Amino acid sequence: MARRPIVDAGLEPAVAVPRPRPGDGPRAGDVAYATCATLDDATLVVRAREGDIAAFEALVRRYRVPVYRIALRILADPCGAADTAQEAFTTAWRLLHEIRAEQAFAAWLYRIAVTRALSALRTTRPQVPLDATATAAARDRSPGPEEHALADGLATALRCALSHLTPEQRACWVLREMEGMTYEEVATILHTTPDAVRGRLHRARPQLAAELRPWR
Amino acid sequence: MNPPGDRLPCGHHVDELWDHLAGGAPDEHARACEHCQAALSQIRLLRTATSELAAEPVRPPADLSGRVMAVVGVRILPAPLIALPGPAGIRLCVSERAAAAVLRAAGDAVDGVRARSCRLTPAARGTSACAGLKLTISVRYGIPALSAAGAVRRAVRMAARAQLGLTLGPIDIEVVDIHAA
Repeated sequence: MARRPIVDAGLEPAVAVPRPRPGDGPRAGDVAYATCATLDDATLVVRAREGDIAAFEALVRRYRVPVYRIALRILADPCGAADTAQEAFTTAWRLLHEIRAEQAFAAWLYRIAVTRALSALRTTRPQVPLDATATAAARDRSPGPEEHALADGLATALRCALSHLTPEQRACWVLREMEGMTYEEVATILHTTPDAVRGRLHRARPQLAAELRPWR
Repeated sequence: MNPPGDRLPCGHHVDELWDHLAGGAPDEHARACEHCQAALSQIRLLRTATSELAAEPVRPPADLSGRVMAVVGVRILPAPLIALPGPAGIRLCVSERAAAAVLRAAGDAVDGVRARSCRLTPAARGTSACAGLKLTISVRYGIPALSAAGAVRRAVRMAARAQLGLTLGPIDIEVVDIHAA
């Protein structure tokens, strides 16, 4: 996509503002981004809220990796994660005026992304499958040695085990144990209490440990 | 053996062991206790698996930012226009958003200042009054706020005149934050 110059054309009558062409060298937008990249989140959020596209683009560039990573780890599907990340950012742009504490932008953005990822998970994966018995049996059984022989490592075994957790447990595991957030931060993102987060992790651990037992 | 998550026969809780391990080494009891040791070996395996998975490189699609910004560009509403003085017979305007970008850049150019909100209040139509400006800034720790605000006021007034041909009326500057160097 052609980057927009920071000084857009709002000139009347037809006073043409020279638009950069490919190969023109550094563009107005590039300079704007280079400047924005050094700014703190609060400054960028305030500017973006007032329609400064370069400021919002700097936020997207700053957070695209963690937002995509969190979505990918919850959904375990690269295409779904890319869609979720894109929706999270465009929703953030639409709702920027709702942020009260600009410095808490990251937590607010992760909350949008996680909510979207969980809702995508619920729509693509029914909570009560048609063949509930077979699924329950598959879930209760630990993967056998053959399955582990096929797996290319411990990380793959855990990825498989994580897919058997409830969406909420998985989100807790991803945010707390993989992203290294505190119980309080995870609770804020998931609209719940730190005790509820502890409870979900408490229930997830034995299940994950049981599935990794063949590796001991 | 006890499933992890339950209280161990020694009275320790697996959740406590997990948190101990996350914060460093297990305590003296856990180092000597067979129940704790058995639970710890499970925990270590799960932690190793988690770290391995967390360390896998994740690269978002190269066009993610572009896709987001394409949607944002379509959704943005046109900003109100501010009339600029110009040659007779030609109406010359600048969008408030473009003018704000110029004025913020002038504020940013002052050492230790980051311009945040920048709101122009257009002069009433048909009057000779000038557009007013409300600017909020963050000042680097250690820089006197009053002198920074004075320098910003001069810089934006000069930029408005030189780059936009706009003579600003009252300029309100509010220092809303202090940032680290």
